[in-house]
Amino acid sequence: MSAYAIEVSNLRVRVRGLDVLRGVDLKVRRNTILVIMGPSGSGKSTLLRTLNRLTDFIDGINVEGSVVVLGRDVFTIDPCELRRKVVLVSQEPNPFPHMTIFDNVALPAKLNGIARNKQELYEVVKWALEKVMLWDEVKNRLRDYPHSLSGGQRQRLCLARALAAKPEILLLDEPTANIDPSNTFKIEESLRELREELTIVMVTHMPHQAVRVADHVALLYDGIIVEEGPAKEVFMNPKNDITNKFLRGAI
Amino acid sequence: MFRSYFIRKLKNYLMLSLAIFVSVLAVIPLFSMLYMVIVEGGKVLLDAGLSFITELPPTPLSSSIGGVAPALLGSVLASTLAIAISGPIAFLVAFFVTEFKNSSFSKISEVVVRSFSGIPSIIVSMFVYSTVVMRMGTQSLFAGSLSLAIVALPYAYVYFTSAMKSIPESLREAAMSLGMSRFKALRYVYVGVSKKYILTGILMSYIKAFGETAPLLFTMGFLMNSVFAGFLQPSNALPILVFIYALSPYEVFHKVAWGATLLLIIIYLVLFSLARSLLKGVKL
Repeated sequence: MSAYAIEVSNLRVRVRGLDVLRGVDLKVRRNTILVIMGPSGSGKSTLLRTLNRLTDFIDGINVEGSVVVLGRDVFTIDPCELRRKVVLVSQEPNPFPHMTIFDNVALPAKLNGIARNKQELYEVVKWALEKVMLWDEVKNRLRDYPHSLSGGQRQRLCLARALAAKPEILLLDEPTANIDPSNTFKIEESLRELREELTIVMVTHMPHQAVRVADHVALLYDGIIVEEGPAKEVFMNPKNDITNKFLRGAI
Repeated sequence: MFRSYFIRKLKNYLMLSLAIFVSVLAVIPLFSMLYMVIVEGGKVLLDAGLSFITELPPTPLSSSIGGVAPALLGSVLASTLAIAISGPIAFLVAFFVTEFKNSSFSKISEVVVRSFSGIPSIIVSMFVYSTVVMRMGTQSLFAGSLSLAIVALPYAYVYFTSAMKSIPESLREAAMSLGMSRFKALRYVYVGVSKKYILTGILMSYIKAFGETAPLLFTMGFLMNSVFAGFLQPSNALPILVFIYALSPYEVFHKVAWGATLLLIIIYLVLFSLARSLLKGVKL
């Protein structure tokens, strides 16, 4: 088994004639948190969505290069099977509004065959909600609908829903962009704990968040990774001028 | 300065008065028609009471008004069967067209289904007559339903397409990113999120089918001597009954036609109000 959960080489993505990624090379070690930083429009979200082929739903997209996830080429396997192992949590909290809090978390566990009976399902839901520090806040209202939750709670619910699928890789697209500092802290705390169980790739445009959670960082700029390495090394001693400017907030 | 202000106010008044006048002019025919139906039909319904919906129609020289039971039951059954036929087809086409919008099959399906709405319903009736009634050797509830299903199909399709398009992209992505296939996403997410829109579509298509006359003229038959003869036997429907009785020379038939018209309007208003209340949708 490879030490890397994700191996990307020479990835080029073009959307309706526009180059979004221009030859990305990237390796992500198992059970680590890689944070991909970069200014808006640098291709971070596209890179993230290529890892579980959510880019398949973008009209006029052309993807070239190699993406190997968990030892398998993502372009040769069933995308649904891939997405069950590589789950993405979006920037905008998107719980299913017609389902209760419990059902939102239970659904992926049911669909992926994680739980075989009601008791197991309850255990999985509890585990997932505990992992995101939401259990104490919702344990007495599991039958409520998600619109009764705050924005930050809804985002944590989405994170719990993703965890209930028992993925091996978790992709996070700016998961704290629209929520308050308290919920941001809880999510970051959860991610540090989850690293023991799965590999996490997170996209953010906030360097200070990368400082708090990343083991490794990569800076994506204009469709190219200009610098990557262990978080401390990159933050303390950036080798690239663009990284330097980005960390100082100049771009 | 004051003069221009006065002229502006005057113009505003004139245009507002004109708009109100034209609006009133537009609703006068509607309200006068409703008034006539309520007055004339109301007398009949009050006179006949509940027996109007449970009894057979009168004979031409009968002294009692009788009822419209065969027509009412025929309308309910034919419309229900029509929606049972057209609903799933319209729903699957709407799902396919919104999910695979770039495929040529979905583009063709879209054009075909939408073009159905432009076909005069009497032609649908003739088509079903020549393909189904002629082969079966009799007009029937089934042939009527088929005719109504063709007419209701584009209406149901439009509502179901709106229902599918009402699903936010973020929820589609959430479903897909959890590894659901498109059909699992449809089953577990899309239907649940848009269920009120779907129900509204079903109800509005039902209303459309319920009030149609032309598609039934050559297909349904005109059953009068029993309430129900079977799905493959002639039946009756409220719009046909109104059409035929209104043209007849007998006064008792005219009365029944007024009563049936009011009954149709009551059913329409109840279903329409229900559909409107459902349209409030789910909280997203």
